[in-house]
Amino acid sequence: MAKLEISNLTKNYGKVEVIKGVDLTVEDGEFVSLIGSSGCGKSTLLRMIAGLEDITSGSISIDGRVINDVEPKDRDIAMVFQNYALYPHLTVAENMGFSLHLRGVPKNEAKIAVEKVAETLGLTPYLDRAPKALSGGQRQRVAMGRAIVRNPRIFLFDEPLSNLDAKLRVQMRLEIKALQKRLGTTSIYVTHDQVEALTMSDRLVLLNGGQVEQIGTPMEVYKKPANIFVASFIGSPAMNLFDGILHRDVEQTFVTVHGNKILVPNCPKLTNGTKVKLGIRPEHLKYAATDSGNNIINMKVSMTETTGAETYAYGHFGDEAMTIKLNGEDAIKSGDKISLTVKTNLLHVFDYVTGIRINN
Amino acid sequence: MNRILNRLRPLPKLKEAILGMGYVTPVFFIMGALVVLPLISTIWDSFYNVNPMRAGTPFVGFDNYAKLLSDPNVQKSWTNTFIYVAITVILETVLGVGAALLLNKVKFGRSWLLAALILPWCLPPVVNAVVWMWIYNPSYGVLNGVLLSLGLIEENRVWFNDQFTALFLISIVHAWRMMPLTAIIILAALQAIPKDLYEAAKLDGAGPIKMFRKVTLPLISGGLAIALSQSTVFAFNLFDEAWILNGAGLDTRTVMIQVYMSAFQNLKFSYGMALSILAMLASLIVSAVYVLRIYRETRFD
Repeated sequence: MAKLEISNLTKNYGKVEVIKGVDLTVEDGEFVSLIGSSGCGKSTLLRMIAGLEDITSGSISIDGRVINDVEPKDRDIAMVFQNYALYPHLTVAENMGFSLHLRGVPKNEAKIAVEKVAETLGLTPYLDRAPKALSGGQRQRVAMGRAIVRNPRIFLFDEPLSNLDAKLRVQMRLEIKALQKRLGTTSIYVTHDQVEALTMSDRLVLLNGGQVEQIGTPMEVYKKPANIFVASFIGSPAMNLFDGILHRDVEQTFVTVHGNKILVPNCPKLTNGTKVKLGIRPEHLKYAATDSGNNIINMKVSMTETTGAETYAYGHFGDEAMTIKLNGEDAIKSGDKISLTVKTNLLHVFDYVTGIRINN
Repeated sequence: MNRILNRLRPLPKLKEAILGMGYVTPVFFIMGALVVLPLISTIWDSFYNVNPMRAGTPFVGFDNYAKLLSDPNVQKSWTNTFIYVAITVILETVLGVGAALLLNKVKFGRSWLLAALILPWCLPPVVNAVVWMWIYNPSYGVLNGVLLSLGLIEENRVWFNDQFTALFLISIVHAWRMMPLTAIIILAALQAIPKDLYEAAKLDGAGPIKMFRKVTLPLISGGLAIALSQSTVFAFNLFDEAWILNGAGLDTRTVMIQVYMSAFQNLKFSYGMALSILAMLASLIVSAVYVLRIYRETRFD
C-alpha cells in the first residue's frame, strides 16, 4: 500500500537522454500502465522505480519518502519480469518463498504464506516442480506468486504477458486485474500493447521519446487524445488523419478536406483559414445516405479484411490513405466508391504544426 | 514434385543404420587404436612380468600390484600426489572462480584481459616450469629478491630444502598453468546465467554474498563439476613441473614420475603399467565423486 510520486525524473546514458523530465503521481491502490513503442523509455522508467537503474536527476518517492538512493532490496517493491526470471535451481515453492527465506522468515510461516498464495493462483499441484517443468502460463503465475507472497508496497510488471500466446494473454490479463483489485496493491504495468493498457488500467501514461505525452483514464485518452501521437497510438485501427483548412463563420466552425465541408466542434483558439489535421476514428465512420452535403467523406476502397465480426476497409479519400471499421455483415469490396459520414462531436482537430489537440 | 517427395521420404531402416555406422566408424577406430587398445594391453601386461632385460614374459597375476603396496617409494609418491591434488584443486578452483567473477564484472577490454589470463595455459608446461625455476632460484630468484626487499626474510632461502615448501611451490606452478582453464569454464557458466535472475534476487532482498551463494553458485555448479574433475585429473597426472623443478627427488616425486622411473629408468615395464592403472583409477574415482554429486544436485540441467 503506497503512493508513488515521481517528479522531474531524468535519465541519461552518457550523452543520450532516455527519460526527459517525467512527472507522475500514482495513488495508493491504483493500477497505472506505462505504454509506448519500444525505446520510449517505459521499461527504463519502471527499472528506475525498482532501483535497477540509477537516477540522473529528479526524485522518486514512496509515501513521501525519497527513495533515490535506497537499495532495491530495501524499497519493498516486487517486480514481475518479462521472462519471469524464475530461479531454475529452485522448485516453485522455493521460488515463491525465496524473498521470505532471505529475510529470515521462519520456515513454517513462509510455507504457510506460500501455500496460501499458491492456492489463490491454482499452483498448489505444482509446488514441488522445477520451473522448467511448467508451461508459460504457469511460470507467469509463479512469477506473480513470488511477487504476492512478499506482500510488497508496490508491484511492478515489465511486459509480463508478452511471451504468452494470444488466448492465454487474455486470460492472464483478467486474472492480473482481478488479483490487483482484490489485493489493492499499487501497481505499475509496462506494456506496448494498447489493449492490455486500456483494459487493465485505472490510468494510462503514454510515453514517447522519454517524455509523457498524456496521462489519463482509458476513456480520456481514447476520447480526447492530447495530440496526434496519442491519437494515432491509441485505437485500432489507428485514427485517420486528414489535412484540412479551418473555417469559421457566425454559425459554425468547419474544416474543408478535399473540397468537402466537415463541421467540427468549436475551436476557439484558431483563426479562419488555419491549416489543421482532422482526426476521424475508423469506427466512427458510417455509411451516408447521400454522397454530398456536410460531414461526408468519399472513400475509394482498395482493399478489405474481415475478422468475421468486423470488416476493415482500406482506401483513399482524395490522395490521403484511410481506414474504416465496419460490421462484418456489411458487403464491401475493393473498387467500391462509398460515402461515409461522421458525427461532429466525434471529431478531433489537431494543430498542423505542433500536433496538439485544439477542440475540447 | 514427385522427385522432391521421393527425396524427402525417410531412408529405409537398414540404410539409415548403415549411414549411422558410417558416421561413427572413424571415431570408433581412432578411439579404439589410441585409447581402448593401449588401455587393454596395459591392463593385460600389468599381470605379466615384461622386462626388456630379461627373457620371457611370465604371468605373475597380482604380483606387481602386491609389490606396489609395499614399495616405500610408491607410497611416498602417492602421498605427494594426494597433497598436490588437494593444493592445486583448491588453488585452481578458488582463483579460477575469483578470476571468472572479476572478468564477468569487467565491461571494458574483457577480451584483452581474457587473452592475458589464458597465456600461462598456452605456454608449454616445460617452459612454464623453467620460468618458475628462475623465480624460485636460491641465489638470483625473484622470490628471494622480493621477500628480502620486503624484509620478510633475512637471507636467501633454498626453497626446495623443505619438503612441504617444495610441494607447495610446485603446486603453485601447476595451479598457475591450469587455473585459466577453470576460469574460462566458470566464466562461460556465469555468462549463461540470465541477468534478470540477479535483478529478481536484488528485489527479493539478496545482498552480494547471498546472491553468490543462492543464485550464482547453484547455477554454475555444472561448470564447477567439469572444472573440478579436469583439475583433479590433471593434478593426478602432474609430471612436468615436479620433474623440471626438482627432478627425481623423492620429496616431490609424483606417481607419474614414479611410473616413468619404474618403467623407463629401472625398465620394470609391468610394474610401471600396474602403477599407471592405479593412478588412472584413483583420478577416475575422485572426479566421478564430484560429477555424480553435483549432477544429482542440479535438478535443472
